Amino acid sequence: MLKRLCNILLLVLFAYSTMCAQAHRDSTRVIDEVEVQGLAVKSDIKAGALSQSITSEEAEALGMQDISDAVRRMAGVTVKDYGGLGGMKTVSVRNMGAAHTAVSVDGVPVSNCQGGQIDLAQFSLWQTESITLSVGSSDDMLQTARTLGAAATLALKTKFPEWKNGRNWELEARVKGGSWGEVMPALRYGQKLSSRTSLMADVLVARSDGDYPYTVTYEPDKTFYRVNDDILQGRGNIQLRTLLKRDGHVDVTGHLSMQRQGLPGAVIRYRETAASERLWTRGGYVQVLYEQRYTPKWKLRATGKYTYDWQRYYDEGRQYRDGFAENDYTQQEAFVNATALWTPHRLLSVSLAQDAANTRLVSNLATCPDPMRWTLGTALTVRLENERWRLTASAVYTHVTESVEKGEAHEDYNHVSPSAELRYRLVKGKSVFLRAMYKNGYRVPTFNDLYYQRAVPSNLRPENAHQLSAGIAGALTSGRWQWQWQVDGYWNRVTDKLVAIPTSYVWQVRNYGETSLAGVDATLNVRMQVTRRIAAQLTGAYSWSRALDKTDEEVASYNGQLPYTPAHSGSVGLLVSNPWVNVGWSMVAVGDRWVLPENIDRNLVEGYTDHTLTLSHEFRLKSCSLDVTASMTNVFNTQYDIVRYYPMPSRAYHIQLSIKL
Amino acid sequence: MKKNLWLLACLIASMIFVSCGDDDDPVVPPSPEPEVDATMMYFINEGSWNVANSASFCSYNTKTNVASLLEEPTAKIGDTPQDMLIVGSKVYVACWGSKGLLIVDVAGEPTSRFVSLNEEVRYLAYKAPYLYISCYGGRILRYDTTNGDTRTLQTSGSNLEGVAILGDKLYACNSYSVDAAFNYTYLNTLITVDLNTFTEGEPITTVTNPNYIVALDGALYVVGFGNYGYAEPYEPYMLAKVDPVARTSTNMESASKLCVWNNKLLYAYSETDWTTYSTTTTFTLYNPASGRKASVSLDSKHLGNAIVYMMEEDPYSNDLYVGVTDNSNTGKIYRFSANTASLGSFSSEGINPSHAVFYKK
Repeated sequence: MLKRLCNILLLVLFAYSTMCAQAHRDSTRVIDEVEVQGLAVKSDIKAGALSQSITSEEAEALGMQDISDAVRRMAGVTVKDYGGLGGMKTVSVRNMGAAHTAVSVDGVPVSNCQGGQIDLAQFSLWQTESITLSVGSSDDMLQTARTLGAAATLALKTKFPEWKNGRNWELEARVKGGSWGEVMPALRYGQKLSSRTSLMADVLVARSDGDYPYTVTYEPDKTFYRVNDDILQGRGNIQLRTLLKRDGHVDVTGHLSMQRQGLPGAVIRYRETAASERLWTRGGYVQVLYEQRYTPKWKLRATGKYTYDWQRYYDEGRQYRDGFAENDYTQQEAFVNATALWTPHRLLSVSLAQDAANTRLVSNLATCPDPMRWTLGTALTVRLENERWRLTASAVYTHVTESVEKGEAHEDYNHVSPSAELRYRLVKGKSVFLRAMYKNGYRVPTFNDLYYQRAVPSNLRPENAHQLSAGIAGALTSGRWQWQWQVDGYWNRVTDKLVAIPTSYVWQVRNYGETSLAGVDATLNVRMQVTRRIAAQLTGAYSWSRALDKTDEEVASYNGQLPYTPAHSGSVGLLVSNPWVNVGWSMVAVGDRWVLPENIDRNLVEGYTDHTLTLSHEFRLKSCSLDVTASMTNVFNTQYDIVRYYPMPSRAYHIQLSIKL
Repeated sequence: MKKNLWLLACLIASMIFVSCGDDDDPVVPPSPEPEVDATMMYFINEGSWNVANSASFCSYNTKTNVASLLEEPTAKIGDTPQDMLIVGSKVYVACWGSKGLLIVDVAGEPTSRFVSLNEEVRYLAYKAPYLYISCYGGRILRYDTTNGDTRTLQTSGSNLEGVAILGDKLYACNSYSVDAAFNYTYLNTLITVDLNTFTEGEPITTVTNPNYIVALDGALYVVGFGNYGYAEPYEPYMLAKVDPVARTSTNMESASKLCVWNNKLLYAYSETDWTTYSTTTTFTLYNPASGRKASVSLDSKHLGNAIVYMMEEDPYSNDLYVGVTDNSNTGKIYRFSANTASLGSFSSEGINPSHAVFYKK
């Protein structure tokens, strides 16, 4: 696998050197460094629908431990977290299901053709510069057709040196330690190869025993300890960036990762100390992103990515003939995209995106037909914009065709997803916007949906999500105060839901289900510059959600709130920056939820609040800075589950030392 | 000493006072009428797949028609109970997920304890004084109900399901085997065990993927689940009659659940049409003496399109209890008299009501 990735990387570098040759001929102009203080008006405010973003710096200052920890504090988000460092973490936006959320890294989508859901545990907060969650199409007109076609997008941007220290190299070393054997050393090195070309490499290793204590409702006086929750992981990135003329750039990224972990599973009565499932993953990708404005009217972004993911699942039990099960899964995807942006007039922009992806799944599972899928996506986006109005309309056409090594392939899929957004600036020159959106998102059945344990593929239609949303967003500066807020109401309807349902004694995935989702999402970001060196920032998010099952009037769950969907949820964060010790406090509050469709007491999981406290200070020694951060998560030691019988960690302590040269 | 004498005198005086009291004295409340006729039904809700610990243990008073969860046993019931059986006043529940046996004594206020067996227990059969438990991995446990001693027999089978005892032999459904790569092989034998020696005998060939088995009138009736369409050719659910003496198996017709009712064999077949998402369930009564079968109309309005998950006979009244499920919502149990008349229904207070036992106080 490593050899294949290296070969691809070499090929890419060759093409890269050709592409960048022109860049060295361009002259550069260095401007004086200007420090800007205050809260810039985030592009979230200007989006046509709910958009939220956070930098890793902000997230870490508030004590957030990973990507999912940051995402779960956003409005309209339901994160399913099975607990622990390696526990699977998926994100569902506005209750449409995790498979409706596209995840992209540096503008290129991440795929999981096997199960459809992207596990956020595979990304590191330390390696990430910023996280942006968008329901609409965002400001970016150069997106891929795949991300445009998704109901929501979580965009991660990889951290890259900013060359603030005036040197042509940058080094950051960090070590983090925490409760239950958590150790996480990491190293990042950046080198300017020329005035326009830079290289960055980072590596991170993390391990944890994960044996945190918990209690269960059926035996509240006894303390148990999570077992088989250990994890060892390593991740590395290497990125080469060349700036081109006219704001263009080429990024080539190589990524490798490995992980070895236990799967603690749900807490089973009388078997609290037994769990035997293990998981090994290895993977990597090579990614190229090329962006260039050729003329004032034409701009192009092209991406290419090859991904390789291998996974081994192991379990023990007497039901297996040999006493154990061992399943290997290999996923590969080659993805290319080109998006052209044409701006014939200052009021009009048109973009056309074309994607092509080839995805394969190979497994040692006897019933796996080793499917291969071609996905072609075409997206046309038209935007009309003046000082007050902005109208964006797009249509995404997707064609999916499959073949299998064994058995019978599913018939082709063809789907058109339209969307439209309208944004209106309420007061000329002010950042206060009214906005409305319609968007159709859909998801094609995954390989698991279609072929798992099936001699003949299930005849499934794509799941369809229709979204209507309207709201107001604004930013206001008054003296020392800066305010940014968003309030959006929405109504979504998801039809042809893909759900696993029983056929007497076995389960099969069927298009069976319909949901009606309504709610309100609100965010607030307030900053006060108390003195020149002291500032306070308050962030808040709140969601009200009414997510109802509309499948069958005859069953008890009809019109009931969907499982794991709280009616109320929110978060608050307060960060006080000062010359002495920065203080961060954040809190997540989630209301009661039901674990099953029927809304009865027996299925109720109580709500919870989770508080995090962080203290940090940066010591500066000439051009070197030492950052010390201490944080306490789950301050009040609240015992709670996000997924029932997957207890979340109790109070934990983390300390982090970071040196930047 | 004086103090003790004084207490004794008081006690004697109080006894005289009580014994001389008027029986019609309105101050003394009448003692409650003992419920000598009440049969208690105890049943399990298997819980929902992939939702750990959602199982429950419930009771239903057949006289007052009140169903309730039993708090204490519920708090201690293991995960994914698979089968239950009553011996005297003790209810034994095989908990597959928790790998053990829940024992609930229902003679008085129910009390329970859990016996961890570290086996993937499935189904139960009893012949004094032993409880026989089929397990995955082809093992049969013999649990001595008098002292808790356990003996294990490793049979030639793979994953054993339903068990039945006929004469001195135990018959266990040998359903399937699965290798490390999840390559399923659906088997078609009944494992036989001589109960006198607790040794394995020759297996009997029967339907594919046998899961349920009952003994009636000298024969065995087995429901095989087929191959679920996971392989071709498709093999459907099938009921077979097995003659244990001649060692022959004869297919009868499609069935997915069975029980003995009024000394006859009642079997149900639930089939779902995936184009309309509708399930059709039919009930058939088979008379082993005459070899005749007849369809039975059991509240077709409610049961005609339900997935039948439980069928149990109350041996004291011959009433029939049919539990239905949709695997995610609270189940419902329908009650019928011996002549098929509907006697109402009640909530199962849990998901997937699967088995019941009856106890007359």
